[in-house]
Amino acid sequence: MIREHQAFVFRTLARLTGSREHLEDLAQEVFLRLYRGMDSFRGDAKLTTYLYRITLNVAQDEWKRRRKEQAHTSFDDPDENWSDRLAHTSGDAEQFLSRKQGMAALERAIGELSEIERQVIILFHQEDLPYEKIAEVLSIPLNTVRTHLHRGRKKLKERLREGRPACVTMA
Amino acid sequence: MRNDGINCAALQQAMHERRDLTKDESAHVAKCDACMDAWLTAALDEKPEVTIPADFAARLAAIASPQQKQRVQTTPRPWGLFTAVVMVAVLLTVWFSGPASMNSWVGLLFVMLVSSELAGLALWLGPRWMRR
Repeated sequence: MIREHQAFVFRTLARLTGSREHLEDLAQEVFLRLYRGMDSFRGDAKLTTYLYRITLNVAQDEWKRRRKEQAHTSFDDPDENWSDRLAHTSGDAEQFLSRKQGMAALERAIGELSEIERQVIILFHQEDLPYEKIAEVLSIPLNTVRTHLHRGRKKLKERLREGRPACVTMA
Repeated sequence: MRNDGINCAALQQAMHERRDLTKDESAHVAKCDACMDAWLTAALDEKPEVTIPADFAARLAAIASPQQKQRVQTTPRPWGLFTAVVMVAVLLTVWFSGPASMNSWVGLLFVMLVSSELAGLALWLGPRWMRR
């Protein structure tokens, strides 16, 4: 079970939290929560659905924890601005041409989406889950999944064009 | 194709093949909605590279097993189950040795109903409590 799903858990956590830091600890937390919850698991949903939910919850908790930490840092040291630190530092157009830079910019743009948009986009694109499965995992109607996906993609395109996380915009 | 001389279909194919873009192609993507859409889809579909330690599953199993043992050891006594069993015994005692009015068919039905409900509860919840 762990071996079968560990790749999904690591990938999803990496994209949802936007960081590779503590990834192993977070993945461990996911599987331990799943393990602890096995007793109360009634089988009314598939085990994978349950695992997806736990993964999203752990990522959300980590996201909140980092937000709180960022707020503390900004408060403690007014000269240190997190958004500045996280923003793309280079204005060199040549750098944007590499896929790596593009992907990094995309990850930053994903980080600016709402929680639900981020989750829908990652489950749909990265994990190839159908709308129905995403709706089941997130406990939202099918049309809401479509709306979040559409809205999220639109926002990503706007952000990438704006060049806030500079990427393919280099005209 | 826009007037910058870049073929959108060819560019989208290049994105699909995960090739780095030239400066002109990147400029085109920023302006062309279809190409931006294709770039975004290709980038989002790409699974991020993550390093999973080879012994991750084994280590996790090692952590999980002692936790399970500990949980079994610290299980509180299933008082609910004991209460249900005692209540069934009391009700059956009352039924067999109680006053004459209890031996009427209404009393009998009542006692049987409560007893079976309690027994059902014990059977349903018992295994759950014992597992905790």
